[in-house]
Amino acid sequence: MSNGKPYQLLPFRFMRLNDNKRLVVNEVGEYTFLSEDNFAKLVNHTLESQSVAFLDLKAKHILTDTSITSAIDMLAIKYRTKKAFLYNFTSLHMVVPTLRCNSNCIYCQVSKKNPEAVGFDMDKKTAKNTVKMIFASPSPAIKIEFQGGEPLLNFSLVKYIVKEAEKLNKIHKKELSFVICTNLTLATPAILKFLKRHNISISTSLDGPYELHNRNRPLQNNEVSYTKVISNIKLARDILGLGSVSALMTTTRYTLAHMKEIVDEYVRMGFQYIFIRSLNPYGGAKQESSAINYAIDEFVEKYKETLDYIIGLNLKGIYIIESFSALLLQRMLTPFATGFVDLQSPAGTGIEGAVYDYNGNVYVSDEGRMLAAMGDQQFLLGNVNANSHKEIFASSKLKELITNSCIECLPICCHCVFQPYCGSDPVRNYAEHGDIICHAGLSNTCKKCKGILRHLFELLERNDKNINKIFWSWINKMPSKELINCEAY
Amino acid sequence: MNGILKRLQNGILIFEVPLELYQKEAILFAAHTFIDRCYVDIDPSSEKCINVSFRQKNKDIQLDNIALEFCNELLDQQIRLNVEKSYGNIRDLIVKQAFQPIEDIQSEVKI
Repeated sequence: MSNGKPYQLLPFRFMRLNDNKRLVVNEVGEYTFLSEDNFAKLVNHTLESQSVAFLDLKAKHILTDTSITSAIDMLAIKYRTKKAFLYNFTSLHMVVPTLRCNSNCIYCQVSKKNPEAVGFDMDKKTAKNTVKMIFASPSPAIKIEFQGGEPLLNFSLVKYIVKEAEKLNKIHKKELSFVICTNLTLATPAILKFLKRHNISISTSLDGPYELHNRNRPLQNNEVSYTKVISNIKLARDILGLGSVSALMTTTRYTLAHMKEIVDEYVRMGFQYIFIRSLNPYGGAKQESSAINYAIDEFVEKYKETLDYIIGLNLKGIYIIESFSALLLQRMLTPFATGFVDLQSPAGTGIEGAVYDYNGNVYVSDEGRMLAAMGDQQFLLGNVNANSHKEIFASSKLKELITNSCIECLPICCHCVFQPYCGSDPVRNYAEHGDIICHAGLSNTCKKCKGILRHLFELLERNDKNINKIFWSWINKMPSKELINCEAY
Repeated sequence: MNGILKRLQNGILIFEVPLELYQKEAILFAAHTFIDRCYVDIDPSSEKCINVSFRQKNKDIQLDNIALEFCNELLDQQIRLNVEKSYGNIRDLIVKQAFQPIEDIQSEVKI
């Protein structure tokens, strides 16, 4: 090498994984595990050029003993691939047809209104302008996601928006898809048939078996929430097909002790995905925090236990994916970009997803709308009835948010070994510690992601063939058929 | 550790970190990683040393562990600075090349 050293180091980050091992990650997320001895040799430029460690580090572009320009070029291509989520601009458009809701969830994050409340439904003019605004996005793919409130309480407007979007798409010819986030308790065969005709997926909430679900998500009319949801999931599957309904759960203090039962409920109901989600610090979850919240360290420990349980089920041949780990594993084990608005750098707020509230207000994210419902309009970008697409999506407010969300430039994050897999959510940062910039040391999101990423790397470091196969089956979304000696786990 | 640990008393841990061993940036980065558990005070006691003190935010925080972790963290942060120095502007060039291809990469490499 021209600098007189036997090899040139390329940018990498590292951490101590345990007493004997270092995790070393390059700029694009390729990683290796090094013994302390080899790590010392690496940084002192004394690694033997024919050693396994050297060849591995060279293959992963953590060092080079040949052309630096080729290495830069190769890493740049991989970097561009990892950041491909930036190409298309806003593709996820969340629309709130109504703030009214018939549920009374203990952690309600959107400050919902009662079903009889007046003045909280989107009107047709706002709906039409919302669809026009959505189609002004340069993205070739448009996903419209109906949020709430409970969108089925204003289903006529949902139908109007779907038809307006389909009409406009005859001109724009984008890849158009729809999702409706609903508690399903008001679903009828007629509603479900409309969803089927227009290829609309259902995302519902299932917080666990009978007692847990009813405790977290009671209905306002004293009907039994769980019974209604389960019977309507079945009805929806009958009409729309088995894969048409996905479900999400939210972890409260009550449920922390019953995580395995929740997983079992998802398996019993035939779901192939479960997303172990912690509480968001908005709305009811913030107001009731002492009653239903928990320390983030406690959540991470439970998450790890639950993940191990899910891996155990997969080893027994029960195929179920933990969605958050699957997302992180895709970032860790493949060169590709992944869409997940809450964890991107720069942040996905506004540029990947945006929210259109019932009154036409446009927010950078659903969490921005949640804060607005609590009286803080910090993340309001404009209104579909008053502002143009350019005024909203090229605003200095949005630019400032995005500029401040690049974790590559933030203290602690810039050196963090997990940076290539992580991201920032300025709204969450603001809700957690009053500043859009991530203060990693004080952020619960940071503690959660670090704890989970570390656990996943510890599992990968075991190099257990069966666990690796399960992880790949999650990434490929295909059950693995060749598990060996599964009793051992 | 005894080399840089000055004292541990009354819930306060004080280090005297010599600048001939660690750069100021390494000391600041290392100290910053503890702000979730401790109140941190940085005091340039002389031209040769920086004093770093940690006061636990709650009594469950074990200052003995903080002391051990801080020593490791200091070392890691200094290594980060050293290796970053050794790869010069390569990180910047990777990002630049990714989004706005460089005509002659070699001429821009500064290591």
